[in-house]
Amino acid sequence: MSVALTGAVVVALFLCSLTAGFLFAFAVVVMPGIRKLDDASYLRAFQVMDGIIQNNSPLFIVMWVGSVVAMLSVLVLGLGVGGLSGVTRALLVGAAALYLGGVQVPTATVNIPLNNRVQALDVDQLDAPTAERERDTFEARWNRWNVIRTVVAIVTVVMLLTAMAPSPASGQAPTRPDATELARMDERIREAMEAEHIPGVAVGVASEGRVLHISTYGLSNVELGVPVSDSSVFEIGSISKQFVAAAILLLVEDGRVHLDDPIHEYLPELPGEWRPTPRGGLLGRRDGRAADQPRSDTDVVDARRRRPRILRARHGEVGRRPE
Amino acid sequence: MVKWDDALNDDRILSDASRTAMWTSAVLENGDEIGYGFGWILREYRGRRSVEHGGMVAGFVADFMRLPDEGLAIIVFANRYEGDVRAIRDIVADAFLPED
Repeated sequence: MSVALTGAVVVALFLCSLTAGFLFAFAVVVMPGIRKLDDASYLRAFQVMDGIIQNNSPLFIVMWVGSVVAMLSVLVLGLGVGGLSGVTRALLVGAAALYLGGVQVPTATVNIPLNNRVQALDVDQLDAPTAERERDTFEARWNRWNVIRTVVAIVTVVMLLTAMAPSPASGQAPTRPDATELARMDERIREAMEAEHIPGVAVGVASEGRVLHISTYGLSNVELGVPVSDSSVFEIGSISKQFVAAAILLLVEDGRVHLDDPIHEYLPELPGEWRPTPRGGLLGRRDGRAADQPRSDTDVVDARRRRPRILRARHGEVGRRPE
Repeated sequence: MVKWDDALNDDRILSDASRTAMWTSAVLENGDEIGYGFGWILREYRGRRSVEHGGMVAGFVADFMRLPDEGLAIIVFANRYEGDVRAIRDIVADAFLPED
């Protein structure tokens, strides 16, 4: 999740939680409370409370308008940014759409017009039947839509919290691309193959021993038109260095090889440049040349020509000092 | 490769000390780190620690990248000599990494 989106979700969560609590308080305490008043008192009580909001109480404005801005940001970023799982994206976009459609739209189309109607009354001048009629017009409808927007606001908060919950492994765990993202990945891989003139590719993704993904592209045999499959055999080249290093480290753990020994203790025929053991020891992968010394000047080049002799070390000889 | 990757997550093959040494850069006489351990290139990928190595041999190019903090391993094999598959590796890594 991008920093911008995370920030928008955190702000939206905070402001929508306040909004949900605000609406909830009206639904369970304020409206049932003033319900016990006579018609004129009921209308006046609502007028007074609504008056505070209509006078642009700063904290109310921050909460209410801020939640709309934050949710619009979540909606836009949730639709726009890449790298979200399908579920996370659906939760964020769904929460934003639900909040705007299920809290703000009823507020604007039902509750605020009713508020304004009550606010316009001169309660002291109303006769009893008019007050009763005005209350009847207002109360049931206002309360019904207030319960609806309260429930929607609470659901919205739960959806945002679910979207923000860390995945089981950790916050940095690999994500599972959805079908669209995988199709995009395949397309980009084929473009890269084209650019590099690569006939066939096999791709594997793993996490802690689990194969997350395998996909194959192109041909394993161009002449015969054989596609790459998940059982095609490829050579790994220098990736094998890590296997040799691991094998030597096992000998080190057994005390049979010491990384700080001169390499010639084990392989006396190696080029002369390697005789002083460099810092980092046997596996340091330096050939002993000075930085400005051309490679062609060194014994290494000569040694490469004599490679068959160098590789004479046989199984079982490693770790035994040559006679 | 998946089994190898997984085995490197704990001490079932190599001790903690061996794996730490394997993924620590060698240092030149002048003190410069060369960004290379024991058969591993050490670098960062999009701000994440990466240990990796490519391979190239007649007819083939390969790349193996591990992001140990994310528990993610990317393996790419190709049947082309002297091509560059790191672009493909990065495409795959990006698909499986959370957005920054």
